[in-house]
Amino acid sequence: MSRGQRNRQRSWQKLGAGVAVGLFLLLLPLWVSSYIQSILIFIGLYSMVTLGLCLLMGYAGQISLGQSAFFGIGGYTTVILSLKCGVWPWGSLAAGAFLTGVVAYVLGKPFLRLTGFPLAVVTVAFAMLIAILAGRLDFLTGGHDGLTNFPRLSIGTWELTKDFHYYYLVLAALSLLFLFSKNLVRSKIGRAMRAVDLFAGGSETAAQSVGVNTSEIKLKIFVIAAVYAAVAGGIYANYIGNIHPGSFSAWWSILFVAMIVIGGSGNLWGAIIGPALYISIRESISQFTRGGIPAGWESVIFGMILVTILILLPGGIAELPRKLGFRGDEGGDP
Amino acid sequence: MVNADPPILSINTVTKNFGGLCAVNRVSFNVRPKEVLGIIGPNGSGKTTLLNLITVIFPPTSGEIYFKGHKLNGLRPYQVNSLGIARNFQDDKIFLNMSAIENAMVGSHGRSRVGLYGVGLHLNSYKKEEQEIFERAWNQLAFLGLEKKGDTSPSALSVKERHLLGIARALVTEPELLLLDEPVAGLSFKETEEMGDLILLLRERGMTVLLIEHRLQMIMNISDRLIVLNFGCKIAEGAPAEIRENEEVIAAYLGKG
Repeated sequence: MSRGQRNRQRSWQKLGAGVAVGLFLLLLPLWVSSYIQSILIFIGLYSMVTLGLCLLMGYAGQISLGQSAFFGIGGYTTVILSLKCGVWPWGSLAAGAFLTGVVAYVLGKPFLRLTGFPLAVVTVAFAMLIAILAGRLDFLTGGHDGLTNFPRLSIGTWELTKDFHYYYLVLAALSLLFLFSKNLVRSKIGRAMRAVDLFAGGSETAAQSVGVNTSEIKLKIFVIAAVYAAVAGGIYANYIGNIHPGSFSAWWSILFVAMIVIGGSGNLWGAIIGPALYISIRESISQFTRGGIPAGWESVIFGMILVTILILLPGGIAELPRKLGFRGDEGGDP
Repeated sequence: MVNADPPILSINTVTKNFGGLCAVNRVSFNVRPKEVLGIIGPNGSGKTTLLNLITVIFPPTSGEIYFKGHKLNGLRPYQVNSLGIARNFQDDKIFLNMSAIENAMVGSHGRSRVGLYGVGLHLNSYKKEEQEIFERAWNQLAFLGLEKKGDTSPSALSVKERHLLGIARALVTEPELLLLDEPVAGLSFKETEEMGDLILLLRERGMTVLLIEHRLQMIMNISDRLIVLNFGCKIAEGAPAEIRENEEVIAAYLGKG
């Protein structure tokens, strides 16, 4: 078989698989309980955050421990605009994403002069600061109790309240962000991102020498990752029906990085596998133990599972097919 | 040989100190259009530092560098590239996380125009541009004889192929001035000769080449003029035949006897 035929056959196979997975995901709420639906919603929301982080960390090699702050800024802006300014909830969601993008742009300029661990340290400091501010600025954020009873997302007069509504919303949003990201990573932007990834064999000096404005590329990806997190935060607040400083403590930033590392940061699918695995493990532990084990032990068990996965699969779960001898269907590409 | 054209690059009393170490000391010279200018000097004489100053990887402590009337001091390296200067690296600095063709394709980044949304939404303008980027990269790989290595990972390339890929990546940016930092390090005698022919071919095509090299035989053969550095100072400048006779150069570099 010629290479062209093989490629064509492969693309038909991919299309078939895509349609099958799409149908399955669309029909899934018919079969599963709202508990499972809510788990899937959380997986989707966290995946949006880790997807951005995957671009930033996995492709461009810049570690951010500040994603929880962007999630929080997106969430709070959405809620505050809907509640206090009477903005149309969808408009608030968009404004939350936009404002977070602006914040990321302004902060990214100085932050991204750093790289590696120093960048991780300033971003985690920022995440802590935002969580503390959210607790202190009572007039705006409702302090530690947070905000609730705000107008929720609706289509016409039909308010989105049920789990399956949010299931479809999250599915649609995540699919769009995933496609956007996939287009990015296989484009010139993806190449420029990999060129600045010091940890994977890139070189900023070399990238600059052939005309890549490396600070601009890093800043763009930083902003994109922040906007993804903000969209997730806005939908999260609408789904839960409240937002408070505990919903986005700096601890979440560390968990997001942990999720992308176990999922596999070198592959966009890792950004979905990671949160799926994290939430499944967390829920399984709490189902099995029914709260019968002292608080904190869940984290210990989760930590042990995480370490085991990383010893066996240093590249994350997304590496598994290659380890088992299947050639990635993408070849060298993402 | 008289070349009346104004210089394409002029280095005016450039000094670079690293703490107490003076790596480049009040060096001045001009590069004329369409010449091969060789820079030689013992290890640590400041040759690579000079290239890093021209590409503004770091700023000079004092002195100015002009390229076609543009002052390079204060520019960022990608801006220097967009003016028409490209380079390779002694340690090749090939992007190990992408294939050979992708390495070369990065060279088109500076002149590509489609924005983030065009790329993310996969618009037609993007697809057209991506095809052009691919073709430009492929043409340079083919020109350098790497057409069969496009999909290869850089770690599977030979030393010579990696040197060529570094040059291909630079050529994709369509420079007028090409800076080559030891492009034949680690190559066999025959490969060195081929690289020399390639540099002469580039000059024939109208490119100006600034070449740093340790292989004296090769650099003497292909350079129109030579600059000799020692301890950061320029100790001689002239045609290869003159340099060969220069007492100071012989003492500093070629060795007596």
